[in-house]
Amino acid sequence: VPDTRALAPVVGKGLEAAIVLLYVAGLATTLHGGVLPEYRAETAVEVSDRTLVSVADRIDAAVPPRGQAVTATRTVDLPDTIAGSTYRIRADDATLSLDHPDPRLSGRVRLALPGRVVSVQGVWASDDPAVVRVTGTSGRVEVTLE
Amino acid sequence: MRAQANLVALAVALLLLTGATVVAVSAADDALVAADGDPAERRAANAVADGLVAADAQTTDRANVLNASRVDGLDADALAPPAAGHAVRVRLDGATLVERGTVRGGTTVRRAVLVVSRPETVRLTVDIDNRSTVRRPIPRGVGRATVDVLPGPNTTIPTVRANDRVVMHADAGLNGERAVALYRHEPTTVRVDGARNATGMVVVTYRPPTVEERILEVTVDA
Repeated sequence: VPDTRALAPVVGKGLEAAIVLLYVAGLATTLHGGVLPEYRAETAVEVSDRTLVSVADRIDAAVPPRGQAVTATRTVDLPDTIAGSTYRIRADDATLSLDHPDPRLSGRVRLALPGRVVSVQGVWASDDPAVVRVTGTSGRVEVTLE
Repeated sequence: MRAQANLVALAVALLLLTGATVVAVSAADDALVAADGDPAERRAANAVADGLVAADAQTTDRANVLNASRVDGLDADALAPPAAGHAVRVRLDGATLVERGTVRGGTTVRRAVLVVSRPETVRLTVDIDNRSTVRRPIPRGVGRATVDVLPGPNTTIPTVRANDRVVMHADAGLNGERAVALYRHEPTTVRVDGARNATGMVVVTYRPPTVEERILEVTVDA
């Protein structure tokens, strides 16, 4: 009869290792398959909303009080990517829109600018420096995103 | 049996790990749900509030100082554009000034403001003789007064001064009323330069302000 007593611990340890591996694999699949993508998507929606709103606030605040000759330049911080892809911020006559490849992450808000602002134009790419430039006279102010 | 004891320990360990994972995930879930604010709503409320208290707004005398009579005539369509299409309510110390749509919950922002009302008109009258002074000074806080110069016969009144500053002047003589701007931060004494034997009257009319501290509440329900 061959002596197989030494085999028992090896089998036991092998079994333990296999169970742990299976468990870790199962856990990783659950997290990556269900929970994480859902969280990422929800967070991206919130980040997109907040980005758009804070950019709109920055643009509103960039317009100085009424004056003979108005010139102002403000830089705006944008997150480089939302949900892993770059996006654009576009101003078109008092409406600011965020264009993202994923339509759920796109959005638009109305700007709150005084009546003397006659035009708001321009596009920002999220990975370029964003500058808002305000120029004009007491009755006519133009806002440009560049 | 020793190997089986190891397996039991492993099972318990994995069970604990599972429990910890579930707790962590549900905590993350709660945090995510709690972070679900509505930034657009908050922005609209802030924009409306800022628009109402801005220095160059229709409703204010200067920054953060609302004019009571103009606030009463506030129109929902005059509110800042981000609130367009949403239910909005503007209240001053609990009294609703404007409400558009039905506000249920929503986001509320508050601003401490001063409200200036001018409920009464004060008239100061002075008979003109040589270098007449309106005896009671106009109190501080009054930035505008109406001065009515009514010269008597054979009288020329060339100049009216407020605190030694010339506010009305005509070489040929003043006659009739005019609104003059006053320096708001100190009391003003109105003086009339008349010739000897001058007769007539000067009437100064102003509206002293009453200032109250209030809380402006803007609620937007998007």
